[in-house]
Amino acid sequence: MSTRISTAGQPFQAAPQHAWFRRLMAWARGNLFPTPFDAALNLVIVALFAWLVASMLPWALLDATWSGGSRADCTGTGACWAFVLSRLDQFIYGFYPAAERWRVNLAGTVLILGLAALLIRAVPGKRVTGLLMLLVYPPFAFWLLKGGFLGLTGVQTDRWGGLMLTLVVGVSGIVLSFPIGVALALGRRSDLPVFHGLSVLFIELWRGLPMVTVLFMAIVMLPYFLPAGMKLDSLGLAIAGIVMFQSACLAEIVKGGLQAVPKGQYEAAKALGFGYWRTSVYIVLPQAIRIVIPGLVNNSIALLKDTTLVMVVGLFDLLNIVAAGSSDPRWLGSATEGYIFVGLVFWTLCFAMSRYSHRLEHSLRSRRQRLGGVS
Amino acid sequence: MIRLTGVHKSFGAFKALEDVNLTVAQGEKVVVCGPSGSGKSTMIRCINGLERHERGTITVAGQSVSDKGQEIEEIRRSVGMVFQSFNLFPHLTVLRNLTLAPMKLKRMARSDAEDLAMSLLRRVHLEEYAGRLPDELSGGQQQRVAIARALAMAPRVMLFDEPTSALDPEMVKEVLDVMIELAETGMTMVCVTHEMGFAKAVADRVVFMCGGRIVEQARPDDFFTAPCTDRARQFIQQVIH
Repeated sequence: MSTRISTAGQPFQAAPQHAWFRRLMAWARGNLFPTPFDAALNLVIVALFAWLVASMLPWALLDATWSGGSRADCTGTGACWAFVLSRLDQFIYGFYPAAERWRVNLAGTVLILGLAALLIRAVPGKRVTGLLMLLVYPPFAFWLLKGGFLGLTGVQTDRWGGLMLTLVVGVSGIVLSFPIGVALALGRRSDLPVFHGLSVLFIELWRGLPMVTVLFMAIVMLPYFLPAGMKLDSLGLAIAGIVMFQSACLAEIVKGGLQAVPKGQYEAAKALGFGYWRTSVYIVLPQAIRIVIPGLVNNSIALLKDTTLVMVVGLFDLLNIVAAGSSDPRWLGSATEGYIFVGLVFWTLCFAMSRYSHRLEHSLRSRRQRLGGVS
Repeated sequence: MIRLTGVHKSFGAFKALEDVNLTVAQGEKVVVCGPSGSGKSTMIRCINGLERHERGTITVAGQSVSDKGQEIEEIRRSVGMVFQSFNLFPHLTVLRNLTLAPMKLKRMARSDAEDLAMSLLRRVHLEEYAGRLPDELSGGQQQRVAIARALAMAPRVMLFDEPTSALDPEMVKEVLDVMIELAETGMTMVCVTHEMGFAKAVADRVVFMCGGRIVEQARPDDFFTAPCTDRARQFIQQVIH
């Protein structure tokens, strides 16, 4: 297709200090302008991109206002980032009492450190860290955030909000739906009629419902079936709804992976004397999950974005709290800046997940990769 | 050691095994051969319960092969099996392929399991490949690892289901050599194979199957020089050229 022109080996080399320039030109000729059509296409795209940046830049950065107490302080032609910055605390912590915000910070820091220890390959002790993060961290974080026992003052979940709430919902959703999804996938492929039937019923029921409906049902309908006076936590209900929905989707993804594991693997495991559970845990699932990593990450990204739907049940997640903030009379008209900010935060989180999954796939393909999960 | 009495098995209308009777003594090496579709593989897959037989009884070391989970798993732990397509666990290194079953099924300590695995890898001449993944090995090497993996459970019987059929010709010998060395240790072996050289060198008895029945059983010398049935004679001519 493209003719790559190499300068290497040509008899008359230019002065050595120009070598990099010649290499650059050679690369450009080979990759950017191999044919007139390619060259034209590249130039059009670059021009479009330049025009886009040039038209955004004055508004987004050059003419923007960075500090102020209300919309009136903004100059008018540029973005009003003062809105985002002056309310940043609220966007991150919601209505969490200022004196107790160290608890959110601590929970967040531990989460970030734990994830870093798990995701960075050079850090040893993956198994211990993983178990701590799965078994010890959730109750610890719950105690820190909710409090009300063991010396911490209680902070009801209706005071939670902003990025913190988004992460609570997202992380709980991802972590809780994974084991349920795997169990459902195994159930769907099981020979035991009851286990199989219930799994299929569960999956088809939840997968067929829009998430918004699930959340509405949880908040509006469920109280009718409960004894009078009993009130459930809306955050808990929202997370439960999301977990049901997501585990059904996950089950379908994992099922695909299970189907891709060759029959010979099951037979080899059986022939060694492995029963159903050990075959699943040590031989089939590690292979199946590896196959479906892209799907799992895609699902997690979708889940994180779907957490914004909790606004329909009256929770102030990042998106909802920004929307609420922009309807404050002092900041009327700042919705654009708010939504761009929310978009950037979500994009950063999702892009990070996507990059990590790329690296994970790559390292799983590479040689000498030992499986950490099986001992 | 192994006793099949009046075993029947069918897949739908196709009768894979009809009234199969076979006894394999401790330490005996039996080669099973016959045209394709004659029920050889089905028969040895019935011995460790990978296929469920319909009538008759199969016992291994006195234990009856039934479809009860616990019992069949115990039998399988003492019956090693080597497959045509190796079936190594691709996500585990060669060493972990060998240590997984002893550690998880016999609760062997990791260090003991690794010592055992390394000594088995030495036996199949692959100790320097312990840290590799199966995909990085040739077919012959993978099959030798598969044999070592089966031996790691210290089986009393080894079943081979066409262990060299999926190999390139130049790799057949290295696998057969390992099998011959294994035979010299006194292991009880049942091998489905078309390698007649191996049968002559190792087998105490050749079992010829056709149409789901055992048609002929004889010492290899007698079988190859003076088969009793026409079908066996035809088969020998085709295999030996």
